[in-house]
Amino acid sequence: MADDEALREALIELEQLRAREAAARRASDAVLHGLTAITEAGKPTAALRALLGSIRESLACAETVLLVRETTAHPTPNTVATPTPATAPPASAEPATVVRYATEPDVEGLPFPDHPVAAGRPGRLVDTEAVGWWDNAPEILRRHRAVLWVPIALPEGGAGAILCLDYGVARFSPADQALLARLAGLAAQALATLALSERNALLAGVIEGTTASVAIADARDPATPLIYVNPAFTALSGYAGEAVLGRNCRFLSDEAPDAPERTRLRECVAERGSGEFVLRNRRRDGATFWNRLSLYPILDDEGLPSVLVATQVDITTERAAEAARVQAEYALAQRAAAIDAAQDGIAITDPAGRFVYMNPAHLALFGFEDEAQVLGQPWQILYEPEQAEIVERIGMAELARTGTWRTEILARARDGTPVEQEASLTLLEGIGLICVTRDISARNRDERERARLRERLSAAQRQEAMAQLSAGIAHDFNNLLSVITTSAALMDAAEADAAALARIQAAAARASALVGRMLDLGGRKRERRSLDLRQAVSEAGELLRAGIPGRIALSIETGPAAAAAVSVEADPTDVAQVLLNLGINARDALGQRTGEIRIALDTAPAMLPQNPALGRIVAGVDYACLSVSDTGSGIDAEAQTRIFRPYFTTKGVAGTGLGLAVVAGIVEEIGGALTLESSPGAGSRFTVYWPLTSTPPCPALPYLAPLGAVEPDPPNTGREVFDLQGRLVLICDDQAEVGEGLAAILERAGAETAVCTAPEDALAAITEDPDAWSLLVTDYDMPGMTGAALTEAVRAVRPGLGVVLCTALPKAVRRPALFDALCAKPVTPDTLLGAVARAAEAAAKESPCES
Amino acid sequence: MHLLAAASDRADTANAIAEVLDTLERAMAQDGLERAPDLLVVQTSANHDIAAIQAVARKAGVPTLHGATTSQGVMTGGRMVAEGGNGLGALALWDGGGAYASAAAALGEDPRTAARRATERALDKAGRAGEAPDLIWLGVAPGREEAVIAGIEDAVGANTPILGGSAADNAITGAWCVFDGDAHHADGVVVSVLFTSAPVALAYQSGYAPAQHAGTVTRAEGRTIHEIDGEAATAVYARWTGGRIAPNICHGPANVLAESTFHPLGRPLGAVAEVPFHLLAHPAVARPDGGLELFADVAVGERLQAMTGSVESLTARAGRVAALALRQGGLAPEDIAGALVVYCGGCMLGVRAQMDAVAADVDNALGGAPSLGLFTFGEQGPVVGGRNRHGNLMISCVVFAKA
Repeated sequence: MADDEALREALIELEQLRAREAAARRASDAVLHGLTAITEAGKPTAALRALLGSIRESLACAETVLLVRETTAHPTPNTVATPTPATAPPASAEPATVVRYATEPDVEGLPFPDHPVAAGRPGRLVDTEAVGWWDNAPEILRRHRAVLWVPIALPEGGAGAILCLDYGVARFSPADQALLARLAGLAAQALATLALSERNALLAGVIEGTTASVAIADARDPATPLIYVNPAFTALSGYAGEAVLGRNCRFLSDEAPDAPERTRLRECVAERGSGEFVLRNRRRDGATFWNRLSLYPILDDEGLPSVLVATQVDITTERAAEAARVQAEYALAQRAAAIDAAQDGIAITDPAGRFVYMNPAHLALFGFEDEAQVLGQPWQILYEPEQAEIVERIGMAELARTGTWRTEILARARDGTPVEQEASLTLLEGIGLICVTRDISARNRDERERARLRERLSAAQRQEAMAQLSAGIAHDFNNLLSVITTSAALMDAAEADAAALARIQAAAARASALVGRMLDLGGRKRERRSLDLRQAVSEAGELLRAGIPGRIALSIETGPAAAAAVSVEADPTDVAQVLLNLGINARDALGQRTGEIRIALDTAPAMLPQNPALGRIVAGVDYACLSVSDTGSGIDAEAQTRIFRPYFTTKGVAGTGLGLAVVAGIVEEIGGALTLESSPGAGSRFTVYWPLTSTPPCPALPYLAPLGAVEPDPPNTGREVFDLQGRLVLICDDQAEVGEGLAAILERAGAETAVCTAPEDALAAITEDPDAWSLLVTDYDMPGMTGAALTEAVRAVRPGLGVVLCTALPKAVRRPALFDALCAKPVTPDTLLGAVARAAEAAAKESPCES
Repeated sequence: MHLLAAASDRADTANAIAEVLDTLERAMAQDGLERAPDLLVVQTSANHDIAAIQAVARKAGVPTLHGATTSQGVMTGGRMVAEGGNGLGALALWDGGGAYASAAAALGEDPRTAARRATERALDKAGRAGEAPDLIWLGVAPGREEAVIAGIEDAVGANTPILGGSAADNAITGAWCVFDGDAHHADGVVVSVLFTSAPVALAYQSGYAPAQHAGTVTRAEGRTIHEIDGEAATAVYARWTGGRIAPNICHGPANVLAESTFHPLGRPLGAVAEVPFHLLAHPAVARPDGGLELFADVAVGERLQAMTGSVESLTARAGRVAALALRQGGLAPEDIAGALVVYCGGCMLGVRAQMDAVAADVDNALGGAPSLGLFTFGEQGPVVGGRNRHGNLMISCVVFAKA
């Protein structure tokens, strides 16, 4: 090779070497410049921006930007300090390329075309006007014509690129590209530093700002002193940092040093281990709290523990809540057990109507042994198709409208037997149906029995009323007939039409017979028998309960003395009559108010009332006390004098006026007595003294004969002539004309008579001169005193005085033995004279001296 | 990056293609390559059927075909493949991380615009519109290379190296052509854009030295110098060559191409350490009017330097240029995947007998890496200072690093 050629070749290679050296020097200068910029900038973000400025200078370009392609929505680091420009795209999950840093701050945060980052390789764009994607570049960058870029790895794993931009076309050379690639390494390191710095700042900020208490201790020091506590620690414990730094944190403990949990913590700290602990700690102010402490070590680059980190949480409230939860679970379990144990059947369905729960009572009611036999089954399995159709058509509509439905329906047990069921259904939105049910077969039976009793009572009351009415009519009618027949008998057959007199007397006799049959029809046939009054009261009380509203408390009590059977002679209906009439009056006395009705049965106390309102207390007779008391309006004194009279009522048109009259009749019939304690506003108490059968009958007071058992004396059919000469006969009848008629008959037979209409007058006359009188003829039903009472009173004054009872209601006379003779109105002269003669004879037997 | 080269001197196109394909397929199988190359550079003597070559490339699924005719044949594997003036050579390139595309176009009336558009089309096909590639590999019909370079630079800028050669034939009869996978053009250009995933390095040099004489062009038109220093160019050139090139032009233009191979004219490119470097222009025809036609444009006012060369220097220069390319890239022979070598067709004709030695030197310099050499009627490349220029009697080499 010629020397000249060799020289030129050497020169060319020298020139190439110079070029390579120049390029290397340029690159070294650029790297040094960049490192200097980073170093002098101080903070990581400023360092990165300074590096971009350095790159701009090294490549002598107009602008340098750092693009990132974010694959997930999260704020860019610089937005922590610099708000994202308004033009920045909203955070979204779609990958988007943005300018994260730039030498021109105004473009930071702006969206940028994805092309350079997506390419994943370096590129030199000759002229931006030749490519369409550049139109989407930020406006203030669009004037640049040449672009050079290289990809850059981002610390967070995304894609990025550094771009150099300049105004000249084809501005960048392959050497520029190589230089930028080298500087991109610096940028990657700066980004990593920035990311690490931000992460550290973030962690520091989180620890400082978190509400969880954090304490850090030096693990290299055997004493493990605290070297950091965050504000949350101070808030939790009350100790400020300066007060605790340098100290071991055991001062917080409120537990004994050998407490198990504290021992476990101490061992964990000694081992520089990790664990969780629950400790009772004490705040600076002395208050204790439960602390859940998490302990863990942080290792240095040699794997040795450098610090121990403890996070602490006050779980006092949480523990209390846990205790409350346990309590609530217990309560819930109790309720569940209660539901399981409930006597009422309870079942729950899902929204589709399939059973999801059925308690044992429900299962038993329908003959199932196990819940599994019904779970998942539709509710229709419990009904015949007809009943199921009713439930669906009526019940479901009502449930849809009001949310509840209550019904009584015939269901079907598992074996097909009918179940009389009361069901209460509740629709719970989203849950299904709640069904509470019970077997009402027994209740229905009881109800039917009560209805039967009520009907029986009602019939008895009706019959009693009829009897009262019949008796009244018969009484008055017989008195009238008596006037007619006695008047007819006194007429001289010679002076009158004998046939007509005979017709009058025959008609009067038939009328009397008719009245007698009417009394037979109206009277109730009593069925007296020995019974336990407790049982009769209990049954009658339950009958009464059906008619008592819920606002009134009805109690039925038997006293201690009534522990054994309380035997009385009574018709059970009479017991019911007494109790129902008194109880219903008590109910009505309470009106619409709340109140109390108390029925009490006991044997009578030693101190018996001396002046009962009805009847008479007889010494030596044992009584049962049946009382009905109420907290109602009470009865004034005036009404108390009249309330036992028939047809007297304080209830207006709502009352019959017969209730207490019936009671009075029964009391009289059983030979008992009745007291009334009442005052307006203080309630009332009626007490019936019922003679016990264990008491021997009083000789002076023969036991009551059954109603209708007494027959009047027969007429004197033998036409016997009676001579009453010398006999003074006192006649007492509230009907004056009746008395006068009787007197006329007796006077015709030779007697002297005196007539009075008031029994008190009769008693007064005899009392005035007891021996003057030969005989007393008296009526029975008289105001103020009955014929029986008059008789007893008279005999008290004049023992042995003959008494003839002449009554319009002979079958109603309860003690016929009291009288020497008894005749029924209308009375014929023969009958009356016969009775008077028998009475006189009887009296003469008892008083021989008189005869 | 992976390269393979193959060549055939079969006169029949089909046989030549078959031989080349067979060689390539065997090498591909040996190297474990299963897909078509990303770029296939084909250089063929002008006698072969271009359409057949294109069809085979399409059938093989080659996405990018860059083709041009070469004078006589090609050199590859350390030998000249040009038996009887027949030569078909191919260099196949695989680079999954890069991007490659070619576009051919007729130059027409506006070769600069045609070249720019072809370049833009290639960039589009490569998916790199608007970007500057690592290298432009150029094939162009002789005559308007300067305008073509300007057009390419319009598209990619002056910072991108453009390397290549002017299409040639065996007897300067205008049988040359250029082609891509779709078209071929006699008066055309084929531009390939190479975005490589591995470095490329190149050298573009001549093997000539300045001689004693120099002058200034005082009248010129296109590629014809009419006067140097006010004197007829043919007379001046005859004097500068010591009368060794004084053709008889009484009867018309005289072809001086062969004689002038060792006496080209140089245009100064600059100086290194005050030693001037020149871009050569090869005198081709001496005209009766005193004009001297060249294979390169010359402008009035350009300084012309008489240059001189020798068989020895032209023989040894190709290998040295290849070695220089390696050094330029800081590469060792084992670092490279292959190379393309452009050797002036005039020089080749001047040292035809030594061409096997030239090929061997190149092969040695490249360490036996696959390479393809072509013989051209003009050479383009970056001269000292980095500017892309068109010159004559130049030798260039581009080496592709493996990674």
